[in-house]
Amino acid sequence: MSTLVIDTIQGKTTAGSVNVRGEGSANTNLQQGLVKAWAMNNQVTTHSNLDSFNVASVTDVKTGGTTENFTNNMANGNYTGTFCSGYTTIDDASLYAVKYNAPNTGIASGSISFTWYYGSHGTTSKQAADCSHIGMQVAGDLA
Amino acid sequence: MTIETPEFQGTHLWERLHWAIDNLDGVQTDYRVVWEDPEEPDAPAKITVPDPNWMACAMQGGILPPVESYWELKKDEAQPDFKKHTRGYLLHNTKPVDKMTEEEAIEYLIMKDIPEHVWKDYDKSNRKRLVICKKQNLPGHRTWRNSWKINQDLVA
Repeated sequence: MSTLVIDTIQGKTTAGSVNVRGEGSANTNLQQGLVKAWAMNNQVTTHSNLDSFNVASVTDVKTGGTTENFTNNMANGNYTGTFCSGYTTIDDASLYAVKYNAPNTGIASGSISFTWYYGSHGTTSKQAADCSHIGMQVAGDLA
Repeated sequence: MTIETPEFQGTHLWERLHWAIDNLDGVQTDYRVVWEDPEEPDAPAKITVPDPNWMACAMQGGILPPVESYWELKKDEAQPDFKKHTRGYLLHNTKPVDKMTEEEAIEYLIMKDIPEHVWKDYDKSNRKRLVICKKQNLPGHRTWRNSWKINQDLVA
Protein backbone atom coordinates (compact mmCIF):
# COMPACT_ATOMS: atom_id res chain seq x y z
CA MET A 1 0.00 0.00 0.00
CA SER A 2 1.27 3.49 -0.84
CA THR A 3 0.52 6.74 0.97
CA LEU A 4 0.41 10.03 -0.88
CA VAL A 5 1.54 12.93 1.32
CA ILE A 6 1.12 16.23 -0.50
CA ASP A 7 -0.31 19.69 0.05
CA THR A 8 -1.60 20.52 -3.40
CA ILE A 9 -2.86 18.67 -6.46
CA GLN A 10 -2.60 20.73 -9.61
CA GLY A 11 -3.39 19.88 -13.21
CA LYS A 12 -0.38 19.71 -15.55
CA THR A 13 -2.15 20.84 -18.72
CA THR A 14 -4.66 23.11 -16.97
CA ALA A 15 -3.85 24.01 -13.38
CA GLY A 16 -7.48 24.09 -12.26
CA SER A 17 -8.51 20.79 -13.83
CA VAL A 18 -7.57 17.35 -12.51
CA ASN A 19 -9.15 14.13 -13.77
CA VAL A 20 -9.68 11.08 -11.59
CA ARG A 21 -9.92 7.74 -13.37
CA GLY A 22 -13.45 6.46 -12.95
CA GLU A 23 -15.28 3.30 -13.91
CA GLY A 24 -14.20 1.76 -17.22
CA SER A 25 -12.68 4.43 -19.43
CA ALA A 26 -14.59 7.34 -17.86
CA ASN A 27 -12.75 10.14 -16.09
CA THR A 28 -14.23 12.22 -13.31
CA ASN A 29 -13.17 15.85 -13.08
CA LEU A 30 -12.08 16.52 -9.50
CA GLN A 31 -12.94 20.23 -9.37
CA GLN A 32 -16.42 19.74 -10.81
CA GLY A 33 -17.19 17.08 -8.23
CA LEU A 34 -16.34 19.14 -5.15
CA VAL A 35 -18.90 20.74 -2.88
CA LYS A 36 -18.20 24.50 -2.90
CA ALA A 37 -20.37 25.48 0.08
CA TRP A 38 -22.40 23.72 2.75
CA ALA A 39 -24.31 24.57 5.90
CA MET A 40 -26.33 22.96 8.65
CA ASN A 41 -29.08 25.19 9.99
CA ASN A 42 -32.03 25.10 12.36
CA GLN A 43 -35.11 26.96 11.10
CA VAL A 44 -37.18 26.10 14.15
CA THR A 45 -35.20 27.85 16.85
CA THR A 46 -32.34 30.30 16.32
CA HIS A 47 -32.12 30.07 12.53
CA SER A 48 -28.34 30.27 12.93
CA ASN A 49 -25.89 27.97 11.18
CA LEU A 50 -24.64 25.14 13.38
CA ASP A 51 -21.67 24.62 11.10
CA SER A 52 -20.78 25.53 7.56
CA PHE A 53 -18.18 26.19 4.90
CA ASN A 54 -18.03 29.21 2.58
CA VAL A 55 -21.07 30.84 4.16
CA ALA A 56 -21.01 34.42 5.50
CA SER A 57 -24.52 34.65 6.88
CA VAL A 58 -27.96 33.10 6.83
CA THR A 59 -31.21 35.01 6.41
CA ASP A 60 -34.48 33.84 7.92
CA VAL A 61 -36.83 34.91 5.12
CA LYS A 62 -40.20 33.48 6.19
CA THR A 63 -41.73 30.23 7.37
CA GLY A 64 -39.58 27.47 5.87
CA GLY A 65 -37.59 30.04 3.88
CA THR A 66 -33.84 30.49 4.19
CA THR A 67 -31.11 32.27 2.25
CA GLU A 68 -27.50 31.20 2.72
CA ASN A 69 -25.08 33.96 1.64
CA PHE A 70 -21.71 32.82 0.33
CA THR A 71 -18.33 34.23 1.29
CA ASN A 72 -16.78 33.25 -2.07
CA ASN A 73 -19.36 33.91 -4.80
CA MET A 74 -20.23 31.30 -7.36
CA ALA A 75 -19.36 32.11 -10.99
CA ASN A 76 -23.02 32.82 -11.86
CA GLY A 77 -26.47 31.63 -10.89
CA ASN A 78 -26.15 28.32 -12.72
CA TYR A 79 -25.01 26.26 -9.75
CA THR A 80 -26.98 23.55 -8.04
CA GLY A 81 -28.07 22.94 -4.49
CA THR A 82 -28.89 19.77 -2.61
CA PHE A 83 -30.93 19.86 0.58
CA CYS A 84 -31.92 17.57 3.39
CA SER A 85 -34.00 18.05 6.50
CA GLY A 86 -33.99 16.59 9.96
CA TYR A 87 -36.67 16.73 12.57
CA THR A 88 -39.99 18.50 12.30
CA THR A 89 -43.43 18.15 13.74
CA ILE A 90 -44.85 16.82 10.49
CA ASP A 91 -44.29 13.74 8.41
CA ASP A 92 -40.72 13.92 7.08
CA ALA A 93 -41.59 11.78 4.09
CA SER A 94 -43.73 14.50 2.53
CA LEU A 95 -41.16 17.29 2.87
CA TYR A 96 -39.37 18.81 -0.10
CA ALA A 97 -37.26 21.91 -0.69
CA VAL A 98 -37.48 24.34 -3.58
CA LYS A 99 -34.48 26.44 -4.65
CA TYR A 100 -35.00 29.88 -6.07
CA ASN A 101 -33.01 33.03 -6.62
CA ALA A 102 -33.88 35.71 -4.11
CA PRO A 103 -35.99 38.42 -5.79
CA ASN A 104 -34.85 42.03 -6.01
CA THR A 105 -31.39 41.37 -4.71
CA GLY A 106 -29.36 40.80 -7.86
CA ILE A 107 -27.02 38.57 -5.90
CA ALA A 108 -27.83 35.18 -7.33
CA SER A 109 -24.14 34.24 -7.50
CA GLY A 110 -23.70 35.34 -3.89
CA SER A 111 -26.46 33.38 -2.22
CA ILE A 112 -28.82 30.44 -2.45
CA SER A 113 -32.43 30.65 -1.31
CA PHE A 114 -34.75 27.77 -0.62
CA THR A 115 -38.08 27.05 1.04
CA TRP A 116 -39.23 23.86 2.70
CA TYR A 117 -42.75 22.67 1.96
CA TYR A 118 -44.94 19.72 2.81
CA GLY A 119 -47.97 18.44 0.99
CA SER A 120 -48.42 17.69 -2.68
CA HIS A 121 -46.06 19.61 -4.94
CA GLY A 122 -47.84 22.02 -7.27
CA THR A 123 -51.13 21.88 -5.40
CA THR A 124 -52.86 24.40 -3.19
CA SER A 125 -52.60 22.00 -0.27
CA LYS A 126 -48.85 22.48 0.05
CA GLN A 127 -47.64 24.53 2.99
CA ALA A 128 -44.31 25.96 4.04
CA ALA A 129 -42.74 24.35 7.09
CA ASP A 130 -39.87 25.20 9.41
CA CYS A 131 -37.48 22.28 9.82
CA SER A 132 -34.64 21.62 12.21
CA HIS A 133 -31.22 20.37 11.11
CA ILE A 134 -31.58 21.32 7.47
CA GLY A 135 -28.55 20.63 5.34
CA MET A 136 -27.48 22.48 2.19
CA GLN A 137 -24.73 21.66 -0.28
CA VAL A 138 -23.74 23.66 -3.36
CA ALA A 139 -21.84 22.42 -6.41
CA GLY A 140 -20.74 24.41 -9.45
CA ASP A 141 -18.05 26.87 -10.47
CA LEU A 142 -16.58 29.43 -8.08
CA ALA A 143 -15.98 33.06 -9.06
CA MET B 1 -3.46 31.76 22.07
CA THR B 2 -3.57 34.04 19.06
CA ILE B 3 -2.51 32.78 15.67
CA GLU B 4 -1.03 34.97 12.99
CA THR B 5 -2.83 35.14 9.65
CA PRO B 6 -0.59 34.26 6.71
CA GLU B 7 -0.12 36.84 3.95
CA PHE B 8 -3.22 36.02 1.94
CA GLN B 9 -3.32 38.70 -0.75
CA GLY B 10 -3.29 36.78 -4.03
CA THR B 11 -4.48 33.54 -2.43
CA HIS B 12 -7.89 32.31 -3.60
CA LEU B 13 -10.52 33.27 -1.04
CA TRP B 14 -11.83 29.71 -0.97
CA GLU B 15 -8.37 28.48 0.12
CA ARG B 16 -8.26 31.09 2.87
CA LEU B 17 -11.53 29.70 4.21
CA HIS B 18 -9.92 26.25 4.42
CA TRP B 19 -7.12 27.77 6.52
CA ALA B 20 -9.70 29.48 8.75
CA ILE B 21 -11.63 26.24 9.34
CA ASP B 22 -8.40 24.52 10.36
CA ASN B 23 -7.11 27.28 12.62
CA LEU B 24 -9.96 29.39 14.03
CA ASP B 25 -12.79 28.64 16.43
CA GLY B 26 -16.22 29.81 15.34
CA VAL B 27 -17.67 32.92 16.96
CA GLN B 28 -21.43 32.67 17.57
CA THR B 29 -22.55 36.28 17.90
CA ASP B 30 -25.78 37.39 19.57
CA TYR B 31 -26.27 40.17 17.02
CA ARG B 32 -29.12 39.93 14.53
CA VAL B 33 -30.09 42.23 11.66
CA VAL B 34 -33.82 42.60 11.11
CA TRP B 35 -34.81 44.20 7.82
CA GLU B 36 -37.71 44.82 5.50
CA ASP B 37 -37.41 45.17 1.75
CA PRO B 38 -39.46 48.15 0.48
CA GLU B 39 -39.67 46.40 -2.89
CA GLU B 40 -41.51 43.51 -1.20
CA PRO B 41 -44.10 45.36 0.91
CA ASP B 42 -46.15 42.23 1.59
CA ALA B 43 -43.19 40.12 2.70
CA PRO B 44 -42.47 39.61 6.39
CA ALA B 45 -39.39 41.05 8.07
CA LYS B 46 -36.21 39.13 7.31
CA ILE B 47 -33.55 38.31 9.90
CA THR B 48 -29.90 37.96 8.92
CA VAL B 49 -27.65 35.98 11.23
CA PRO B 50 -23.84 36.03 10.85
CA ASP B 51 -22.22 32.65 10.31
CA PRO B 52 -19.88 31.64 13.16
CA ASN B 53 -17.01 30.66 10.85
CA TRP B 54 -17.34 33.89 8.88
CA MET B 55 -17.41 35.92 12.09
CA ALA B 56 -14.17 34.24 13.16
CA CYS B 57 -12.58 35.30 9.85
CA ALA B 58 -13.80 38.87 10.26
CA MET B 59 -12.45 39.18 13.79
CA GLN B 60 -9.15 37.48 12.91
CA GLY B 61 -8.36 39.89 10.06
CA GLY B 62 -6.34 39.43 6.89
CA ILE B 63 -8.76 36.90 5.36
CA LEU B 64 -11.83 38.61 3.91
CA PRO B 65 -11.73 40.92 0.89
CA PRO B 66 -13.00 44.50 1.21
CA VAL B 67 -16.76 44.74 0.88
CA GLU B 68 -16.25 46.89 -2.22
CA SER B 69 -15.06 43.76 -4.05
CA TYR B 70 -18.51 42.23 -3.59
CA TRP B 71 -20.15 45.45 -4.80
CA GLU B 72 -18.14 45.30 -8.02
CA LEU B 73 -19.29 41.72 -8.64
CA LYS B 74 -22.89 42.77 -8.02
CA LYS B 75 -22.49 45.53 -10.60
CA ASP B 76 -21.18 43.02 -13.13
CA GLU B 77 -24.03 40.65 -12.40
CA ALA B 78 -26.60 43.40 -12.89
CA GLN B 79 -25.50 43.92 -16.49
CA PRO B 80 -28.06 42.59 -19.01
CA ASP B 81 -25.41 40.64 -20.92
CA PHE B 82 -23.90 39.05 -17.78
CA LYS B 83 -23.03 35.40 -18.27
CA LYS B 84 -20.29 34.58 -15.77
CA HIS B 85 -18.04 36.46 -13.38
CA THR B 86 -14.75 37.41 -15.01
CA ARG B 87 -13.51 39.60 -12.16
CA GLY B 88 -13.43 36.99 -9.40
CA TYR B 89 -9.84 38.11 -8.84
CA LEU B 90 -11.29 41.07 -6.93
CA LEU B 91 -12.05 38.62 -4.13
CA HIS B 92 -8.64 36.96 -4.28
CA ASN B 93 -6.13 39.65 -5.23
CA THR B 94 -7.40 42.73 -3.38
CA LYS B 95 -5.68 43.41 -0.06
CA PRO B 96 -7.70 41.67 2.69
CA VAL B 97 -9.32 43.80 5.36
CA ASP B 98 -7.84 44.12 8.84
CA LYS B 99 -9.46 42.52 11.86
CA MET B 100 -12.85 43.93 12.82
CA THR B 101 -14.74 44.27 16.05
CA GLU B 102 -18.00 42.35 16.33
CA GLU B 103 -19.92 45.56 15.59
CA GLU B 104 -17.76 46.44 12.58
CA ALA B 105 -18.25 42.93 11.23
CA ILE B 106 -22.03 43.35 11.43
CA GLU B 107 -21.81 46.61 9.48
CA TYR B 108 -19.65 44.91 6.84
CA LEU B 109 -22.11 42.03 6.61
CA ILE B 110 -25.08 44.36 6.17
CA MET B 111 -23.35 46.02 3.21
CA LYS B 112 -22.42 42.63 1.76
CA ASP B 113 -25.51 40.46 2.21
CA ILE B 114 -28.44 42.88 2.37
CA PRO B 115 -29.57 44.76 -0.76
CA GLU B 116 -28.22 48.31 -1.00
CA HIS B 117 -31.68 49.83 -1.39
CA VAL B 118 -32.47 48.50 2.09
CA TRP B 119 -29.42 49.74 4.02
CA LYS B 120 -28.57 52.93 2.15
CA ASP B 121 -29.99 55.91 4.08
CA TYR B 122 -32.05 53.46 6.12
CA ASP B 123 -32.14 55.87 9.06
CA LYS B 124 -33.65 58.66 6.96
CA SER B 125 -36.77 56.89 5.75
CA ASN B 126 -40.18 57.44 7.33
CA ARG B 127 -40.52 53.77 8.11
CA LYS B 128 -37.61 52.00 9.82
CA ARG B 129 -36.55 49.17 7.58
CA LEU B 130 -33.38 47.92 9.26
CA VAL B 131 -32.59 47.28 12.92
CA ILE B 132 -29.55 45.72 14.57
CA CYS B 133 -30.53 43.94 17.76
CA LYS B 134 -29.61 41.02 20.01
CA LYS B 135 -31.21 37.62 19.53
CA GLN B 136 -33.00 37.90 22.89
CA ASN B 137 -34.92 40.87 21.43
CA LEU B 138 -36.55 38.58 18.84
CA PRO B 139 -39.61 36.38 19.42
CA GLY B 140 -38.65 33.06 20.97
CA HIS B 141 -41.21 31.20 18.87
CA ARG B 142 -42.24 30.97 15.20
CA THR B 143 -45.94 31.70 15.61
CA TRP B 144 -47.29 33.87 12.78
CA ARG B 145 -43.77 34.08 11.32
CA ASN B 146 -45.09 35.32 7.97
CA SER B 147 -46.65 38.34 9.66
CA TRP B 148 -43.57 39.58 11.48
CA LYS B 149 -42.78 43.26 10.91
CA ILE B 150 -40.40 45.70 12.55
CA ASN B 151 -42.13 47.33 15.52
CA GLN B 152 -41.99 51.01 14.54
CA ASP B 153 -42.81 52.13 18.07
CA LEU B 154 -39.80 50.34 19.54
CA VAL B 155 -37.26 51.61 17.01
CA ALA B 156 -38.51 55.19 16.67
